[in-house]
Amino acid sequence: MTDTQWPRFEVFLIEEDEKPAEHVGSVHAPDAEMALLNARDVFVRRPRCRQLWVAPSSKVLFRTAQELKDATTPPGNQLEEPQPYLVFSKPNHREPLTLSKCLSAGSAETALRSVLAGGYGADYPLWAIVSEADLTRSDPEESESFFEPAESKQYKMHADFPTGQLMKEVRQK
Amino acid sequence: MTEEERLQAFEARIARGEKIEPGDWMPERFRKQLIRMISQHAHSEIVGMLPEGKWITRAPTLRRKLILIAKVQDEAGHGQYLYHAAETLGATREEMLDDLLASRAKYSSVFNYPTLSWADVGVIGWLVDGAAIINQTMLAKSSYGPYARAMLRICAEETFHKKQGQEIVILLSQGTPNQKAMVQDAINRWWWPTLMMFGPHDSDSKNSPELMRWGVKTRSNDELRQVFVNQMIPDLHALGLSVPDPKLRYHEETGNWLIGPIDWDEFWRVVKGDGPCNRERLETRRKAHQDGRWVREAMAAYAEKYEGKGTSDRSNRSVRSV
Repeated sequence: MTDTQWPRFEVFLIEEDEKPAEHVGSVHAPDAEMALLNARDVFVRRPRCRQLWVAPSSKVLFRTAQELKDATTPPGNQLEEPQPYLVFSKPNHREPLTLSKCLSAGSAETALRSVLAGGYGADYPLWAIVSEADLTRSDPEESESFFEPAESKQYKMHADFPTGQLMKEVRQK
Repeated sequence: MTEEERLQAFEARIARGEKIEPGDWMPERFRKQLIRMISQHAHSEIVGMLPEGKWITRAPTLRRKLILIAKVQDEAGHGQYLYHAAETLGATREEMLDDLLASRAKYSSVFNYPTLSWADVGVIGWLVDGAAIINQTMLAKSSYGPYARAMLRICAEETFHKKQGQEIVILLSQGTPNQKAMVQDAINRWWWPTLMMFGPHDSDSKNSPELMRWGVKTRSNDELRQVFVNQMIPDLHALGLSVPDPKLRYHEETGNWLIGPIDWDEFWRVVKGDGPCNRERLETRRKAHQDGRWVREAMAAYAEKYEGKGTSDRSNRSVRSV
């Protein structure tokens, strides 16, 4: 019965044009293009999404505060050609893991170290770092048609059902 | 640090209200319990599509059809959120799906009952999803970060499920004598299975003490069941409906509605695979999985052709996520 469910892709979502991307979960897909389609179906069943990004889970570095504290090995290979990295951070347990810094670095590990060295987010519980090159973004030109199925879906919000008012009317009868 | 010191530090974090994240140290038992609980929860969402999905083609109006499609689609999404949360603990999607299809995994016993009339769709929405919300609102405060986050998303959408169901029940209860009889019959059949959803009594729940000590759960099965009963009974009575419990009574001092004994023999029978629809539900899932095989193969072939890869990076177990 066993068959592969394909590699995992981490999913990042931008709710409104001016808001930063936040990590929402992961999907399985054979490639980035289909990961975007699956992410749309899983994470955009309600309105409010302007853009989706996906990156192979194997290319995203996650670090918790505890791991950073316990780390005894120095950060990885410094000799790599610097490239742009996106650093996501979670300020506390309520707020989401959100894009906070973009910078050039030799590796995901060094990107995170340099953000921390700058005094940013010393007590943050969670981080995710991904290289710009590993991200695939939904096409902003197509965002209207891409997210249209959720936008135009009817009767999907609880406010569509005035049950409080209906119960009140029954009780008054 | 010794194992004992680690455990103490871990429990102190939970006591401070911190969330445990995937890379953090955790007792093996905590990891195992969470994988068990979250994967069962995910399976429940997936199997939970079936009883209601059956009514999509028979919904009485276009509006009801659109609502039901949106709801069933949500359940599929909830299953995906939860499988993701279990994967952050090292479980793989392949193993979890295999366990479900090979009848090794459990899922909520309530989905092993048949949906015999349209009123069942209303009663499932209001009662079954209403009960689920009470449990999930608690789990949204769970000590494991990815589980709590999945629950927050799910709760927001479940409110829609509950209210669309309540609307159906209200309208039927105020309708023709036939409609009233139909909705009363649905409540009679779903009431006890819904109460069983909260799980065994606290005194018989072997997992509860550990889950509560580690902040995965913060309230006991019996406590949550009482919240649900107190919430439902006044509304059902206001609609002229009753529940099939001759021993139901109001307890003045505590303000609780006290229920009669639950048939735990039935509960365990259904959990162990002998409910009215257990076989049918798993057969349907297996068939869906088999029928989808050519689609998965076509997608893999497409990926292979256009990316020149698609078979690499399959070692999901070592891949971390939050």
